Amino acid sequence: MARIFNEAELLERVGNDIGFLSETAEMLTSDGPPLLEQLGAAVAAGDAAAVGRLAHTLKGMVSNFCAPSVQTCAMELEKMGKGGDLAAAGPALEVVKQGVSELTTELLDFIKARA
Amino acid sequence: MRILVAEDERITRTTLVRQLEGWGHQVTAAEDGEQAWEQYQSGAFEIVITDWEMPRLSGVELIQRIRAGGNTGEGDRHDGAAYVYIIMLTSRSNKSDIVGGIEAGADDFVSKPFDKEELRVRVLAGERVVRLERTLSRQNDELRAAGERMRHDLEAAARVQRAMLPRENITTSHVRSAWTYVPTDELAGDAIGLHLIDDRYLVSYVVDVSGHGVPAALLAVTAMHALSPAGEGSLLLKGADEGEGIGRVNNPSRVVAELNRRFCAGDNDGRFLTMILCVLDSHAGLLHFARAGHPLPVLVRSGKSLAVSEDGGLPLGLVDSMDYEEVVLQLEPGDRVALYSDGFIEQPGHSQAGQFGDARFAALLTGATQVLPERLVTDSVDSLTAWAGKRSFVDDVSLVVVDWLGR
Repeated sequence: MARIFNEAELLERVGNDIGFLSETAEMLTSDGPPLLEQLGAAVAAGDAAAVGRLAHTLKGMVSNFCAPSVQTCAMELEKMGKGGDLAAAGPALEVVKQGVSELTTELLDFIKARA
Repeated sequence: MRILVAEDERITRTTLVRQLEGWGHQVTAAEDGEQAWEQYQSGAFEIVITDWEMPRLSGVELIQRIRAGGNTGEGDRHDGAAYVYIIMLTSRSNKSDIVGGIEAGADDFVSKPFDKEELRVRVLAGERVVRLERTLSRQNDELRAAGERMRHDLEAAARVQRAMLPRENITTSHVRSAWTYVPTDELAGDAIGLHLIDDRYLVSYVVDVSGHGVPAALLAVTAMHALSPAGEGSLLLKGADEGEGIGRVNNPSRVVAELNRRFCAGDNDGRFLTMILCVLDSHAGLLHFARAGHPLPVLVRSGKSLAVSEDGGLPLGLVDSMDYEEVVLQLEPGDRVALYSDGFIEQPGHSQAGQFGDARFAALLTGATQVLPERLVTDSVDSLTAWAGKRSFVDDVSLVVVDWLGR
């Protein structure tokens, strides 16, 4: 089954340095959940500006792992926030959370297999 | 290169720093725009790479502060104004970020997620600009210092030249004289002299060296030095084995011929000199003069300009062994003689067509017979200033006026 991230592109990006990839993946596991939590609170509070800003950060974060589908979901959420329309933000956030979760799991598996 | 990275997202920041350090750069990382600004002020960065959206201070605000003249402290910055190359990180999709960032002062942009090779070559382009700017800046500093040294040297040379000018106007019971001298640059290619020998013989001359600048000034000073009556071996004063002379003074034709011989013997860099030298026996009213390619003196008698002999010779420094004619005039009490350089008559007008000219110059002298020489020379320069539209002339301007009062 195809991975959620582009393996070859990611390896090229980190210069085949699994140690460094591991470092950044750990950052994803530590920085991702609180960021998603803040995003959830912003969606719940209807704070579109905060949703836009936080989704932008999340988009940048996941862009480092060559996972275009997760990045696209984060970008959609960012657009909603910046456009001031949070009508579909709740379901979109769930998709993003799912994507980040899958990315994290697959990354850690990949690193473990390579270590 | 010393690079400051401003990126609030930790993974992107860490990846950037790692890449840049891997290419040999010294990297400082900031977590937001405000921290980046603080670090920028205390460091000496050559390149700044900044994200667009950041908490506290955005990328565009950071760029604006840097371009507004924020210093990066010490380092090798020359005067706090060395150029810092700024690369902006922006979303691939957001063209308005690129436009806004470059308008704010960014030099280039890299799309996020950044491509390693793209980042490398963008930083390479930045390095080239920074090195070029540093080289130009250093060369500018060197040029400025060289220009300053030359200015000091020219000022010193001008002081030496001014020190050789006549100390004062000369007035006795037989003669009243005055002079003026307006160099067009720091150094002049004109030379003038006014000396009273034995309280009787008034020597006056005007020399005009072709061209301007230092070479012309050196020749002008050489002529003044040779004609000074103070030094040993002065051309002006008779030696024991020299001919008749005018009192202790050598005949002007002899002095001019000897000066020509000396200039022909030397290397004048293709330059020549025109000259008029007068010796007035102030007791007898007998005026001797010799001319080397120089404008004729103006003789004013009873409010009219009289014709004087055009005898003379070629300018100095052209043909060796030239003989120069000597003209002798018996002056009448109240006669006025004016010597001048062609800078006076060839000065173009600021609005009127043509030059100041001989006729206007002669009219200036004949129309002011009641005006004392010291006032006349000042008024003449004022008239020339009005003609030129400014007190800055295209050539050096010299004028010597001698009134013979009588026996």
